[in-house]
Amino acid sequence: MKKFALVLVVWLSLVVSASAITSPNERLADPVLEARAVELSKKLRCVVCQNESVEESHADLAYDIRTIVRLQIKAGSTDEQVLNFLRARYGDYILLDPPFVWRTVILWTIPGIVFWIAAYLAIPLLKRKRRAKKKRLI
Amino acid sequence: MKKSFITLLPLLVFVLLALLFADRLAAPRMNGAIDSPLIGKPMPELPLAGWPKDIKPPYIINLFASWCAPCAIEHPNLIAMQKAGVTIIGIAYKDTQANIKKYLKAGGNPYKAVLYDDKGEAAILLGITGVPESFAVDAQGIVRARQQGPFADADTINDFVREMRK
Repeated sequence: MKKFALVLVVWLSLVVSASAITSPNERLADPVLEARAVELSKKLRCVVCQNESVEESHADLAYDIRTIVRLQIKAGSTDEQVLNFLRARYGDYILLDPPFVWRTVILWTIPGIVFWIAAYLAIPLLKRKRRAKKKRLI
Repeated sequence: MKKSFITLLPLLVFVLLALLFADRLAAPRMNGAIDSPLIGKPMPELPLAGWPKDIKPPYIINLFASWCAPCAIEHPNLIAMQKAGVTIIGIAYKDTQANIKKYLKAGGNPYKAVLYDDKGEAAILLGITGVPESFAVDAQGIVRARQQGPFADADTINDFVREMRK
């Protein structure tokens, strides 16, 4: 039990340190606002990095965007407003999750379509195999 | 019937992918740049001291820095553009007045005005990812084109200036 608790503590500290790269002087004093800023920064793409969020990145530009996010949150903007502000300047590219719009229909639907086609093809094959196995056992 | 369909499926997928790639390869190149959402919209107001109110569009906004190597590469092209009658407003990105003065003294000054964005705030309002980056603003004050990276060849420059004069 003690061992388990120790492992849990180590694991949790790792999780915390992995997400909080922002230096302490960047942080907002209000923990609720700061938590919102962190959540928002995780949704934003660091546009000069390879698939890293603004929250994780050490790039200068990511630092600047973290600062702007915090300034706007402090000034009373909603999460939606902050995201829209950045989208108006960097486009949907700044969002790590692309929005579901006409342009991205293929992107979002293909995995599902491929899964159902694969299932449609695979299930009869698997059934036949199982039947063959049963027959052998008898 | 069903079996032959399954055996043909990889071929079908291959043909579809080949068509898709051929189509994408034939599409016009954007040099990896993503179109700015600002294009077609009015140039945003920037929180920079000394915005020159007497300079009327059309003009080019050029973000640069003395510490930026590609900026030095495009610098002679900016001077050529200025000599051809193009108005260029420079925004010095995260730089000091002293360094910019030295830089413009050494390479010549193509800018009608230079503004200082020492914290990079204006840069984010324009959605830039790095320097150099330029925006073509037409006579109505609408952003018409964006150039990410240096003006390196005549075609790029001519297209850009044409967009500005539209």
